[in-house]
Amino acid sequence: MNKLMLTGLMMLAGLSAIGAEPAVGNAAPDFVLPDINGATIRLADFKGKTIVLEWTNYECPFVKKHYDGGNMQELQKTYTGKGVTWLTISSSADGKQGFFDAETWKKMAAAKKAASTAILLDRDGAVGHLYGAKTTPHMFVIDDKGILVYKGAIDDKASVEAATLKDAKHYVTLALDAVLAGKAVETPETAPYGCSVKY
Amino acid sequence: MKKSIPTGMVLVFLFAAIAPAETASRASLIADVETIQPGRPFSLGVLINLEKGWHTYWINPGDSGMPPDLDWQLPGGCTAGPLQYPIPQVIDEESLQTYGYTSQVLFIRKVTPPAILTGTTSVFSVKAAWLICSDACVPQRAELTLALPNGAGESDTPSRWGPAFNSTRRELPFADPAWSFQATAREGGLTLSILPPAGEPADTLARSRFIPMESGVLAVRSTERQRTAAGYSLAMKKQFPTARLPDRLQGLLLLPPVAENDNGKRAIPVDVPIVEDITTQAKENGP
Repeated sequence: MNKLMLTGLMMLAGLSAIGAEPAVGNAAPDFVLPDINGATIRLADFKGKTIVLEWTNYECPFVKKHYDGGNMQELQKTYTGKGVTWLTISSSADGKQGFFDAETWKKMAAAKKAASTAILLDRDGAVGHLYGAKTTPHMFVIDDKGILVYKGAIDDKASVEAATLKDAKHYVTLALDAVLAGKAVETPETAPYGCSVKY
Repeated sequence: MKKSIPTGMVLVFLFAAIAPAETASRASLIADVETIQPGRPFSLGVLINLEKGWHTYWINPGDSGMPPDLDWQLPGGCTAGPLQYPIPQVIDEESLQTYGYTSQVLFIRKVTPPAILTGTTSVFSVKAAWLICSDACVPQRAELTLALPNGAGESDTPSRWGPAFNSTRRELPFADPAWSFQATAREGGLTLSILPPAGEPADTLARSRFIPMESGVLAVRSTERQRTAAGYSLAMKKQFPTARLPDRLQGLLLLPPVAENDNGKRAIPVDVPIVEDITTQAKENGP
């Protein structure tokens, strides 16, 4: 972790009360993380855009449900095509499930045809803890004013079975469609489901 | 001393403790009888054996995980009761709480064959999908089949699985009308009032825990216990402000073992309507 990022995180820690996760309706806290290509990504740089934060662990069966049939990639493609910034975040710690070096990440993301704006590596879990990310997947939607407008599950089917995708109520697409249409998000918060984040 | 253990040795211990996912669990479909009889109820069960270090889940998995998904195919004319979930363990992870089973779990379903059995055997099958987790989670799938001979009304023929069924039945939540519960909706959550029967040791309620049947509604980890004149009250917050309370509070009150009960697992089912707090309303609506 470089000095700049460390400073950024320390500033964040100073700004947010300890243990308080951002509530829906409040400002989404800023963060700085490296992406798998070595670039430094700062949330605030996307100000004015609708942003999705997607917590992931490619080895978690709940995540696999959304990636193996291409559903997650399709969402990433569709919404980045509509001007949404989609940040995929891995908070797996070194030695835990879902932790890979940047080279392996690049190969896997290419093989999966991942279409998010960037894949960020949160190896010390600081950003995961900052947002209170509990499971993979755990989804957050931030509007163009930087306000957190959705947090929770990707959909309403807490299952690893791909067959459940078809009839699921997709909370994230509902939130994104509402935000992009300038409407209020009908279901702004749900309980996330999945594997625990491997901090 | 700790520092002097070579890394290699620690690794060996780790690998020895956690079985690989491929062999970490196995499921079988079993019955408590050798032969089924016309119109006479018996029990079928899905038995899941888990290697050390792995667990699978209750009907509400908690903050992560997945309940077992059992798709039953019963011969025509059979009727079946609900799936019975044994009392789960509370598994605390770093920032999550889950409910499940280690070692072995038997999910029982009572089945009543038709009054007239046709053919020599009846074939029962279950398409089972369940999730096992240690540090990582691995989905498991199996198609389980059990063929049982059809009897003609002879006396019962208990199977070798009888003891497994009996010990699991002792671990099922036991509805006890001597216990009384009331659930009251409060600002941001609810309060469960518990009136235990006379003779319940005073300290057991202090160590009790409520676990809800429905996931994602109540933040049970932050339950606040309070002694009342006649029992206990457990105050629970909603998991998030916009979570909708259901019409009924359903779940289990997990109780610590009492001395005479060597089984160790006790749970009283809770299933009561969630009522509005009348005193608060009266205050709000008052002059």
